[in-house]
Amino acid sequence: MEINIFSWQEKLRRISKISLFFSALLLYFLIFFIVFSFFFVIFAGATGAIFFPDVLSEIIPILSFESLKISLIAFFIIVPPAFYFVYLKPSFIVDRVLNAEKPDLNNPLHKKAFDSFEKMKIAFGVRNAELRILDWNIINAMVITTKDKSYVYITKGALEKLEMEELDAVFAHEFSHVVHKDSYYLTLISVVAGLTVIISYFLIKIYPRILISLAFSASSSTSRTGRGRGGGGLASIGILVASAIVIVVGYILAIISPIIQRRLASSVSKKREFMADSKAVLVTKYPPALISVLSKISKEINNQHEFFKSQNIPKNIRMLLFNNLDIETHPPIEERIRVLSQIAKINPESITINSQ
Amino acid sequence: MVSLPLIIGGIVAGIGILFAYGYNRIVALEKRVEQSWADIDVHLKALAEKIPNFINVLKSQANFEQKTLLQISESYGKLMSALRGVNFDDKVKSANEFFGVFMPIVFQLPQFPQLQTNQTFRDMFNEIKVSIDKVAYARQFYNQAVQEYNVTIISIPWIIIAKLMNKKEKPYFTLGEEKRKEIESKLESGDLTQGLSNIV
Repeated sequence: MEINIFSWQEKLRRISKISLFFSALLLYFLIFFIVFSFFFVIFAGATGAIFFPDVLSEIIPILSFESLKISLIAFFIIVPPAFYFVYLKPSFIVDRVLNAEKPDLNNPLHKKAFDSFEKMKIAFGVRNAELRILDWNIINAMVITTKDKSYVYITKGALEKLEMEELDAVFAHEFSHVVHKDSYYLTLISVVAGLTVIISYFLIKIYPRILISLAFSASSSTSRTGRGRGGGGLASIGILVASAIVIVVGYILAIISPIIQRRLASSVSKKREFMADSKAVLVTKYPPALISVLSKISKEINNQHEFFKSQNIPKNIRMLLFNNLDIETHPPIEERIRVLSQIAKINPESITINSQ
Repeated sequence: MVSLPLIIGGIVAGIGILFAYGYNRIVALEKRVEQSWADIDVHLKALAEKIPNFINVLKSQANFEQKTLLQISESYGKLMSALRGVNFDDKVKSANEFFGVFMPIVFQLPQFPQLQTNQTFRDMFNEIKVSIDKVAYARQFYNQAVQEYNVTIISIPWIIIAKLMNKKEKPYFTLGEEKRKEIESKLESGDLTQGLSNIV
């Protein structure tokens, strides 16, 4: 069986877009659920006690102006610097967290990496990119893209263990991420997934309290105003039943949706990896190199696992790296090798890449 | 009732718009070809700087025929003068000519025993190879631009405008591609020992 590279890329692109669409749809649904259910509860209460309009005035203090003011101030103090560092200068943080260094051209290893890096910059027409070297002994690489600049990170282990052609393939893979704008995809999908988690937290921890206090305030306000027990009782029963339904449904949604979002995010990320693999092969026109890199990684996979367990690397950086323990952002290596060898119509066992 | 002058005026205006569009398209494509050549030019000059030194090492290390080396130096001189000049087609043609002679050596050098033993020779060869790779990758964009330009100026209706503008097809940058197949077949048949003179 063989794969046509162009239809394969087209298929991956389509699937990743559909997954992204469903992920956003789920988020919209959650937001819609909260807004809708709130009105549903109010409505249930209001139909129970059409004579108690001051129920609403009891709810208002929950969304007090004070807390809004505090959160606005915090937003304006925290967001600008966070935006500056995360969006415009991510390498500033990542370099310090990972102890990355700039390539030193007197060092033959760094020179080799730099040559390969420059070649691939030309091949992909990426004008503004910088190379960083990580002092790790495993084979790994990643890329961070900002609006106008990308930073490619490669490990020292990769420079020691890989030949020039293989390094070309690695950089080609990373630059494919740049030209496919994969960091935007990844950011989008993580923002959507993150918002889903926040909303789930809201649904589990905060929303029930609001509803319960709403129910209690409804019953207490009726007793205070003393307009007769029957109507007040109906109002609070209406609100209680409605909130119970909403809370149960909200709990179920809050448990299910982060799992679904995680599946979707991982699926999108994996599809983008496959796309980057096939693009790298298209540009370098030498599939054996990438296959041989992958088989070299699969040989040292246990080292990689141990390394990542011993290192304390932030989760959002580890998402970009090849080996990630909790979220699967990359497809399994065997799968990647199988797909590449089907694209190139070669037997992965027969590949040997030796230096000149 | 539409009058005759109005119809004629409409046709003339339509042709005028078509001509303006075609002119703009051809000029834009031509500029893109020149722009992508400028990208190659940088890497080509970087490669050309390393070549005289490399030829000297070749003379001392590998037992190439004097004829081949002479041919390389000659086409190298032509390439350098063309690169310094302003004629665009000349630059591409002389580059094609130079790589037609030079690439066979690069393809065959890995088979030479001197390369394995001599460290400086090997370093130099690797450096040359990196430079050639850079030129080769930059070539993709140039050839794409040339293809689009060449197809445009021979397709209807732009061919009329191109003829009026006196535009000719641009040459592709081949980088010794014609020789490559010949040499690869020789390499496969194990016919390596005869030297380069029969190919070049």
